[in-house]
Amino acid sequence: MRKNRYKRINKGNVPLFGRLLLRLLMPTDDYREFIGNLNEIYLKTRQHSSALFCWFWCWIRVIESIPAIITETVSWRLIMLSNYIKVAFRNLKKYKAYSFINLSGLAIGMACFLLITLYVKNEFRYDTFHNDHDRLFRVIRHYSNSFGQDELLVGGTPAPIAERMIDEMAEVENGVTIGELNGILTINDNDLREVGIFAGESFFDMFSFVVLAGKPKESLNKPFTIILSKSLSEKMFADENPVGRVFRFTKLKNLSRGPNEKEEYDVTVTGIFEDVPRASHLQFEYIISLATVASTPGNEQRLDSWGMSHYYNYVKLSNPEPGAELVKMLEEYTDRFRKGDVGKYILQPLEDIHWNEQVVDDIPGHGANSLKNAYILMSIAFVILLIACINYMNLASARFSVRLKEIGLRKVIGAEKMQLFYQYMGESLFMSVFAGLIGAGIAVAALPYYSLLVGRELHWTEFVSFSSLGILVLLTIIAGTISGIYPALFATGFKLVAILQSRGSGSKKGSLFRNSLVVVQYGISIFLIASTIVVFRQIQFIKNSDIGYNRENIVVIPLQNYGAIGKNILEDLKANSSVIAVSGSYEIPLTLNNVSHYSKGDKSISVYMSGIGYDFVDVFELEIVDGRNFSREYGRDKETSIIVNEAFVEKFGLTDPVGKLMKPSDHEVIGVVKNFQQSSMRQNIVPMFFFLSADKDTYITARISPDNIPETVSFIEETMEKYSSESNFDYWFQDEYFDKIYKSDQRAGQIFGLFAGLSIFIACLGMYGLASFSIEKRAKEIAVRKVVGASSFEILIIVFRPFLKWVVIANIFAVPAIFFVMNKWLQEFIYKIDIDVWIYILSGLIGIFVTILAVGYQSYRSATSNPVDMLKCE
Amino acid sequence: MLLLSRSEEIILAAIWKLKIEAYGVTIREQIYNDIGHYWSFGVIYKTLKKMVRKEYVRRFETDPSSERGGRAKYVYELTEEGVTCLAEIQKINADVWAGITDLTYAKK
Repeated sequence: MRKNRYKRINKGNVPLFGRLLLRLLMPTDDYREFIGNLNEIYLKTRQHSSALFCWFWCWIRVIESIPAIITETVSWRLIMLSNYIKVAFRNLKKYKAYSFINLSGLAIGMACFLLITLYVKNEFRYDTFHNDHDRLFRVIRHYSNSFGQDELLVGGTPAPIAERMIDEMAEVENGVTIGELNGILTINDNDLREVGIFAGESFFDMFSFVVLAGKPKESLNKPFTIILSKSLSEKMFADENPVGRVFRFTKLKNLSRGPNEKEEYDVTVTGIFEDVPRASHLQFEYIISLATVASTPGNEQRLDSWGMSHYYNYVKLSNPEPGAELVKMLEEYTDRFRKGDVGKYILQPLEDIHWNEQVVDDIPGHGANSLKNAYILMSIAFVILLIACINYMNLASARFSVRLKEIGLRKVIGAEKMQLFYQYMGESLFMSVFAGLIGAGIAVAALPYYSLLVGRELHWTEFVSFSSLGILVLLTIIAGTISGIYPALFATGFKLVAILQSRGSGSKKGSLFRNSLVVVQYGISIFLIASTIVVFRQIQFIKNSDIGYNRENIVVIPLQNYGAIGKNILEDLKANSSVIAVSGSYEIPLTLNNVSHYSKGDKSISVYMSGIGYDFVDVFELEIVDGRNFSREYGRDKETSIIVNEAFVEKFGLTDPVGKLMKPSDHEVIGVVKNFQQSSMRQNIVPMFFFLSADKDTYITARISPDNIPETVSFIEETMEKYSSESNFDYWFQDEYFDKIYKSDQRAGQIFGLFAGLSIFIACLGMYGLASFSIEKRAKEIAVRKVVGASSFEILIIVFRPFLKWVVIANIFAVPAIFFVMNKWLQEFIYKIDIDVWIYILSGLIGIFVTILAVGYQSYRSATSNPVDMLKCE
Repeated sequence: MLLLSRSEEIILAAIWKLKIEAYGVTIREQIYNDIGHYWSFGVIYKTLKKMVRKEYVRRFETDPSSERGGRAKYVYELTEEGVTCLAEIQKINADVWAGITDLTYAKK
């Protein structure tokens, strides 16, 4: 009946918006009274006036009343608000441990979330600062079913391609060719070794790097001109204006490009550009005009040659989508200009460069990232936040069963459901704002260490951007809402009578919900532990697996001057007893850059080749399974002999490989080495062969004795200096080089480890809070049990049992998830570990152990406490 | 005894005069008769609420009546304390105004 009447009044004659306005501003009862009065007068007036007049009359009554209503309502709401805040603070202070757990969990969760989003945001920012970045593309080569790979993307392309595309394709607006460059800048006898690039004159038209001095259009159009970054210019010339200055530049050979002439020339500074942003895949300190390349003796044809894919070509299209015709025309370039090559030219969007780890022979100095890792990290961020929110939900709703009396009293004196809801929602928002501030503080403080971990320079100023602050505010609100909604509903859902009758303990339904949240929390934590173990083990496995050679204690020295000197250095090194074996090689040992072709029947197959010195096999301890090593006793070894790997034998289907002549060049196979790992574990072992490049070697490799490594290295240094005119002696250990390849995986492993640990920590905090709460609630029960004669151990069991039950249930849910997700992750590796049963068991045990730690102290205290203390208070 | 505000005094007096028929519409009419202009419902509402809290008046919900199209009225009634208050203010007013007969004198 009540409802009916209410409905009719709502249908009254007061204008709808007026009604809504009043409804918003007044309590239900008062609203009904108000509308009732208005209606009565309205009906009276309506008898002798027009409807329009009455309508206006009503509106005026409503509007003139509003100021008074507002002052009435708002003043009371403010009074209530101050009461809520007071109560919230009292609760904070009264339950210090609980507040600490809640706040720190939420704050750490938010800090993690902020740090991860900052990193991911930074990754997604790569190369987006260029104007029209969506229309910028790089030309790369695409091979399918070649070199033993299903698919291969190669970054390097021939120099003339960009120019050719501008000429022939209407869609191509602009293009630039870039070459990698490493060299020594000599000013006033000071040597600076810096990384730069060669670039064509349209470089600054294409890319939005800022030119500070000099004319962008003219700075790179003549040979022997150089434009410096701001910081390099300051390093070299201090405050002087460098434009017009001339200095000596010594080009070092490209490590991954094989031999090059060593070049030295004077360059003229034509300008300064703003330092390259960190979020750019091109990283360089200076640019030398591309025209310089063709102006050095012996290189006149270099930039016109389609035979050397040593450059990187970028184009700007008129549309963000390359047209079908352009794609087709580009594909035909291989047949037109590079007969015999099976690779096709394709366009790679500029933003894809940072995310594509697949591209080999990429421009140096930029660490590509995997999109998958970014997504995984992002999901971890959400998961951590979820765990922190669950913590809050659990603890707060558990706490509310202690605050039942407060809720009951509020209801008795007339609190409406909505009022209670707002109060507890507000409390949780207040907590999350507080936690958000602390979290932001933690994130800023942790940023320098975090930057080291992720290998990117992140700066706290990046927090102070509209979007970051937006994320923070949004995050706070979301976290506050998610974590507050359940406790708020929980608190308002109590029946008044039930509250006042029962003393304490919350409803059964509530505790079931809480327990399932704990299970979720623990399930996630166990999943993260197991994933971290799998990732770490996989990385360990890769590092320790049989790679077919011994990579320890090998020193690799790139030569700046080669030829006869190389031979002398070899002799000198050999004389030292600490140097076990020494040899030369044509490229960075065991990397694959050069390609040759052999025919199998009438089919031509591309295979990698690698030039090595006589004792190379001994230095790397490659195992010869058939035939023999290169030998100085056989003169023809220098000309026609090759050593192949097992994959080669298989590829060409050779039954008795030694002595076979490979068509069309009639190279004789003299030996077969056991398969060894060539580059990344993510790639298959591919067919390849070694040839003797003794006189052209550009790298010296030496196996040294594991004793006295520093002495041996300084001996090598002395020897190098004796022959080299430069003091720049560069060397590395082969295993370090190998480690570098796995750096991104290793890094991902470390980041996962960190955040998995933190999520477990937060879950533990929650567990600790819940444990102390449940023990507090069961204090009397425990005391009675003790009085009746239960031992401390039995009490411990009783307290532990429910918690352990949850962890076990969590395990049951976590295992299939681990199995599914981690197998998916491992699929990418050719050589991978199995997810053994012990990993599941171990992560489950860690979960249980951590629970015992969290619950243990509380249980121990209650188990050993004196029952009298618990019972006497009533 | 606290002094009543002027608006409280006027409304209390109106309710007294109306006896059992005091609710929003009639109170507003009565005030118009007493002081010569209409007050907004908001001001009446606010003041009434304050006096309900101070327990000078009580509020009832009557049975639905035909006169309001089957709707209930919210009727106000003075409490004992309200009556005492009103009596007191009457006395105070009388005391305050005692001796003032002709205000034109002051103007001179």
